[in-house]
Amino acid sequence: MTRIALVGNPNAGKTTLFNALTGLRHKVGNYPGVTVDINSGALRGAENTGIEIIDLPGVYSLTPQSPDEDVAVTFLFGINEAQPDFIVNVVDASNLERNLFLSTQLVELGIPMLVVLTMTDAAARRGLRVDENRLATELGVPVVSTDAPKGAGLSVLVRRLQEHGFGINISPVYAGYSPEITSTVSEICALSPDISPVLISTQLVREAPSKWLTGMDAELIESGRAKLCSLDIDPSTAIADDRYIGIGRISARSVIRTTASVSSISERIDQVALHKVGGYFVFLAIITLVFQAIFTWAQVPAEWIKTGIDSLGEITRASLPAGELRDLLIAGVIGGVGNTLVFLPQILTLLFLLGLLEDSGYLARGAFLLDRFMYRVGLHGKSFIPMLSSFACAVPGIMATRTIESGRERLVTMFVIPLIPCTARIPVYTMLIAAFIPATAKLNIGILAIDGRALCMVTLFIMGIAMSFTVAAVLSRTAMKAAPSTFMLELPAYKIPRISRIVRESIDQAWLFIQRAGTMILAISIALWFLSSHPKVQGKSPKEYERSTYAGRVGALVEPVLKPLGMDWKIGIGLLASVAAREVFVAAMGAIYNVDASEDDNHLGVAVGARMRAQVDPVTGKPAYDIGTGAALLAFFAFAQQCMSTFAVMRRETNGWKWPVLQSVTYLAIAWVVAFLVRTVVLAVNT
Amino acid sequence: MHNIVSEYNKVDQPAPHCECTLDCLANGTKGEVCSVTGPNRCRLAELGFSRGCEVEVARKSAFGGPIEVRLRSYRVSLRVEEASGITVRAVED
Repeated sequence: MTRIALVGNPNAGKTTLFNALTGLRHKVGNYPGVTVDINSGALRGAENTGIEIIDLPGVYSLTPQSPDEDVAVTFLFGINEAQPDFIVNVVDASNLERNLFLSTQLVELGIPMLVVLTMTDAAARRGLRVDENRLATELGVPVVSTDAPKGAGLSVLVRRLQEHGFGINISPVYAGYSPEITSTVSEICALSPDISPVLISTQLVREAPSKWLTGMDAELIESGRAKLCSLDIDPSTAIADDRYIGIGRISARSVIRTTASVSSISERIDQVALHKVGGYFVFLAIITLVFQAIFTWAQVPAEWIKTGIDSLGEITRASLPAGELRDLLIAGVIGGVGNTLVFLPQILTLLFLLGLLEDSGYLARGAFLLDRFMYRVGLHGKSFIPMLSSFACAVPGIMATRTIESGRERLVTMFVIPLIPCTARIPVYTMLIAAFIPATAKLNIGILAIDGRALCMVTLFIMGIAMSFTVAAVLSRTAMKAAPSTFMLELPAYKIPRISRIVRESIDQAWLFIQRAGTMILAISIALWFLSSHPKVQGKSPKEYERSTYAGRVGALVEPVLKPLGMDWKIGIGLLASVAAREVFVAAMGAIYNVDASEDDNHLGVAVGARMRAQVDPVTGKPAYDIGTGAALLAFFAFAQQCMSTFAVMRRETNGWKWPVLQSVTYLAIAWVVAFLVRTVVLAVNT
Repeated sequence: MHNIVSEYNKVDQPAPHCECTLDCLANGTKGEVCSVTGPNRCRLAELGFSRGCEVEVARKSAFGGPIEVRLRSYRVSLRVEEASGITVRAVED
């Protein structure tokens, strides 16, 4: 097996080249430690030759600063497994010097290597032409140009890789370091021959050596660093300074300067899009449009799906004899899967629009505009993208945090995402508001009379958003306190989005969502159906029967915790059922009160709400639920992390149980406390 | 054993007079990097903010937000906190 590693700066065109080389037939592998998807695949047209191409996460240097980079760097140094047999270094020709920083380090690894120049057209527009032959001489490795999307140059590359790619001899040219650094590196080399000069020089620059460096080597590096510091040399910058002197020379010899084309279109768009005042209006307009699409336009196909599922249920009801199997199919399978599918239009719309914004280059501008506000609460400008997705659903939102390079800021973003009011909460909010807030309720401010129900809905949304920022601010000042990562945002040139590609990627992602969330929801729906309809006991009144089911017993078990919130065991069952998906609460309460499930969803909500209002406490004879209960339930739904799919995706993305468990427990506690306070206040005001 | 080929060539330059930090440069003005400090200096140096490199402030955003900097034929945005760790010497066009 010959393993070829694709290495390059982020956004250098690595993945595009990878797709061209493997023909998209790749598998995604998970590497231990962190969840970083590493794609690998066979070279197209040479599937049986045992050549594996590995697409490593983008890196700026061999000094890792994030978990993603750590995976790529340990792989290249061969820390956990053998070093790759061959390196294909993707170099962005329009950003040559910064890309060569990595290339010169890679050359020093001593692994056979080939440089692939990408974005040569962008370089030409900026008046830069790279002389491949000259660059090859300077670096001591072969250089080829390619324009992967158009396939030009690719055949040369593939031929080179197949024919004699692995035999290319390279002569390492070490960066010219100052005498002090050179002698420090040589001393460490002499004492520990198993670590290479490039490993030493890339570790000397760190405040502390990487964790994967073994005891003695780490000590040698630390003492070397201390020695340089005592000489008044800061290795963190001096080593890079020296390397860049060499790179400046390489660049001067191999770049031919031509005339640049006139001021770019991107620059002119940015004069509006990033304008100190106007930029924010553009941003607001775009975001409004996105919300409009999710909450209005996407509802139309969602209704079709809902109708389709309902009629499927009807057909099943009519064509099967009454019994266990029919109940399972209607309540468990069709109901469960239907609950997932209804969200599909919203998720697809959002993924598509985000893809459009990302591919056009606008998302980076949004991050640029918002960073100051996000930074104040310990988030990153890029956090706004996943948080925006989370208005549809937290699951794609959490997946979208992968674009945030800094591990800490990514974790804070993932942690607060479940507080963003997602679409699954809306049916619950609608039902409870209709049940507990009279249609005549008005808030009178002067001549303005604000509709009480609408105000309540808006308040719930604002509460969720405000809480997410509060939690982020508290976390980043306490438990996750750390120096902020380098901001490092690049604003790519605007371009016309590749629609077909975005559609394909949106469908891929939505399919992942269905697989992950759908299977979970299906399983829980079936389990819930079973628990709430078994054991079948004969000869009991419906009330006693409910309480004697497994679900009823669990509901009774949690009742003491819910009592202070004005809730009973029936709501307890509903809350437990909402673990499958929040909106299941409405259907579950319907099942408990025997409301005819053939009502469509809106009517179901109204009927359930009415039934809840009509419940009478058997002991006191008063209504079982007061407005305090309703307010407490609403507050509970705003904050509790009761979504199984979110839990599952958190576990996957953080690769452990710690964060999902911590998240669920924290938000359950917040939800309970806030619900209790809200009920107390509401009851006090109402008496 | 590895041999280190030293190709070191020290750039002769007088101690530059560094009067300001990168975030103090006005929009559209250029400077030459003198030193990089702060917790993220290692990454900033790797990105090309090396001693003697010419940088230009391409865009400053509202509310003290990020600063877009042009250097080495590319552009990158930094936070004010990072930019204030980069001392520069103003360069006339």
